[in-house]
Amino acid sequence: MLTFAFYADPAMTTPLRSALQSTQASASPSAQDLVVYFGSRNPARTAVAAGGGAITLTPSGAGAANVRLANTLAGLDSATPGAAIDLAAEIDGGVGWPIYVRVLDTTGSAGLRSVNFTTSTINEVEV
Amino acid sequence: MPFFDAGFFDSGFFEADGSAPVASGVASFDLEIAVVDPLVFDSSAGYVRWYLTARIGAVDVSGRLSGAVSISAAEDSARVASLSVTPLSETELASYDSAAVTLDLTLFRTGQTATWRVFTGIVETVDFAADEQLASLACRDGWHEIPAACASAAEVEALFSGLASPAAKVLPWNDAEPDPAGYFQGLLATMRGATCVDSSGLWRAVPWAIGTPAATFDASEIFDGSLVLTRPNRKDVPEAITARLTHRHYRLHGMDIGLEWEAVDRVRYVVDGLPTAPKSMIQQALDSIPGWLVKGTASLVSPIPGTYGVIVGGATVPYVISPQVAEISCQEMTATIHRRWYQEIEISYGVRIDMGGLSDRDDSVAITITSTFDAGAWEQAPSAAPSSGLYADNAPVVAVPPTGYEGLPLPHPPINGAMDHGADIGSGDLAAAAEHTVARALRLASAGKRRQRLRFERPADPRWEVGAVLAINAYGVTGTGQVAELEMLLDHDSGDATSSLTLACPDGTGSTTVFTATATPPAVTVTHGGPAIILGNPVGAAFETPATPDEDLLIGFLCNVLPTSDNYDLTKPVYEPQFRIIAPEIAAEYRDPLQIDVDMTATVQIAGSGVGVTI
Repeated sequence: MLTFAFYADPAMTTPLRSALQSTQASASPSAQDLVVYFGSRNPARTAVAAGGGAITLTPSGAGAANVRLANTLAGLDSATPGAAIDLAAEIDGGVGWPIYVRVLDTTGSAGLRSVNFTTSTINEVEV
Repeated sequence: MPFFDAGFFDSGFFEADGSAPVASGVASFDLEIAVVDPLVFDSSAGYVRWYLTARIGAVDVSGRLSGAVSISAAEDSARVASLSVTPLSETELASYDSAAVTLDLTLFRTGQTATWRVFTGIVETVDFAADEQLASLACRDGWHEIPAACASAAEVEALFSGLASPAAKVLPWNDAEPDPAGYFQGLLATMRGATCVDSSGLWRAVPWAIGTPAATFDASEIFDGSLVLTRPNRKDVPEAITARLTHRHYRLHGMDIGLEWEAVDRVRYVVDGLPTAPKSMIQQALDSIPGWLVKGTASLVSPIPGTYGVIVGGATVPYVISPQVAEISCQEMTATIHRRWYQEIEISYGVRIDMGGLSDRDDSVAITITSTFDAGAWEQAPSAAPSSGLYADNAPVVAVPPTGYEGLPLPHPPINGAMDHGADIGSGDLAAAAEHTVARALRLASAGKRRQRLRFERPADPRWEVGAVLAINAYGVTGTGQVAELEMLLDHDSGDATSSLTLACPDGTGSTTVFTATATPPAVTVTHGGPAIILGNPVGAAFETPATPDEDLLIGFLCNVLPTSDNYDLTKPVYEPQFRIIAPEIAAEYRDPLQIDVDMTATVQIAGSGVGVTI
């Protein structure tokens, strides 16, 4: 069973079981930055991309164009809305890998939009 | 056809190191973006309807809620919620224990709808009122559990997003007996901000920064009579906060002294019958100076064998030095002796943060770090190891560890000087400890000033989390601050839906809470040493021998004239033949524990612009 997952805290004590919520004003919205953590509580596991290269995280869904992803807070400023990001070629378990999410919906259209964030296929190996 | 299919090894089935994966798949999470018209929060004339969606575990209990639901959050504490629900069965009631809870608030206004997650947590307690068939649930988020579950210092430190100041020598992490909760509290005391878990359950480290407000509320947007300004208590704002970091370590001293000695003129060997000084006696004396070691090898120069003419009473008398006597006798000696010693030293780095308060009491932060160093062992030179006596013959050849001066352990203090030795506390540790100390003082100062608060109520407004910057301009009161506490009350009986927001509005000096701290050890300006000690040849039982010699001056080769000498005086002191060396004493100022106070270089800035009141 895959032990790598997304968590609400860097110590990876709280898995993200329900959808995160973000609310944007329909007029003059301001960006909301969130940080989630990818990792495994098991320090003996390492995640690698199944096809080689880097593990990627891709947003999809109706609201995908309204989010930016980055590996650092500063990186959000230059991130492309809706674009996938490379996390790393290998991510060791035991330490949460921070992923910054900036939500900014400038459509001005009220409503509820969902975004799903999915990693590329990863293989877990024993260290 | 190739012998093997290389593509198989590139297929990802095997990793680069050849290990097979133990699991494979994808990970994901979801985000829901609710885009709403801010008019839904407009408190002007009109009406807002609301609906609370509550899920306990997998069960939607929204339709069975009754009474008031309250949700409250504050800096550095758990978000709590209380609600009452009618369970459908005993099984459902039992399922409430420790169940996951989410509360979503939907606000309706004409043409506007907004749904907001207002709580994510777990059920803490369940009280069932049998007569009403009503279960009262107290729920809490994971603010306490998240730090307590950390398994390393790095995990705890990550909870602060760089806003705390770890210092391993002040606040160590013990791998053998980890105390993540205690480590968390220690770091929290240095944080330039606050922690919380937000309404979605995400851990947040919020900096104490007060810039442009996200919203400004005037009198029309808050409930009449709800605005209250609370000034800091007298104890919260003292006149000043002092922070002091004391570093206990050792000052290591080293001193070299030269020794010079030359034998008496040959004529005295003939006239007074004085003996020659044996080399062995001198060497033994050099090796026996308490606390001192011969640096390198002493120079013991033999007299040149031969026959010398010595003039005695106008006649020339031959004085013969045989090669055998010359070999064991010393004509002149030069040597350098060395001593090292330690001095306990406390350097206390202090800084004062003026708070501008009227209380004459100074709050203080005092931290002490102590270097771990076996100064006693450092001071001692290793002696020659005794023979083990294990081998009768063909003993294995082993490296012989140096003894004496050459065997003195590191570090070597400067010649005729001193050095401050932090041992296991390096400059990086000292810098971290200084930052930790000032950060604690800043936290104390900032928290005190943040006790100036504006509290107000308005219609349910779930937009704001702890740390949000808001402003008030109502009833003659203006102020900008950060949300330090918030509470939402949703009453199913009355229909009331209110938010109570408490803003921390400190009298600050900028928009961010920051500091700098540098502890610079004072320079060591100790100088030891001096001119070489000239050793003499005090002669006893002679006419020139003082009746009461100054014993401190009896240094060098002590000998006596023979009774047959014309220079013999039987009334004068007769010395025990010896080679006597008296090394200088260590002055008290370089030996006794030393305490030095120096100023720490530090700057602090507390975010905030205060509150203005027009009476």
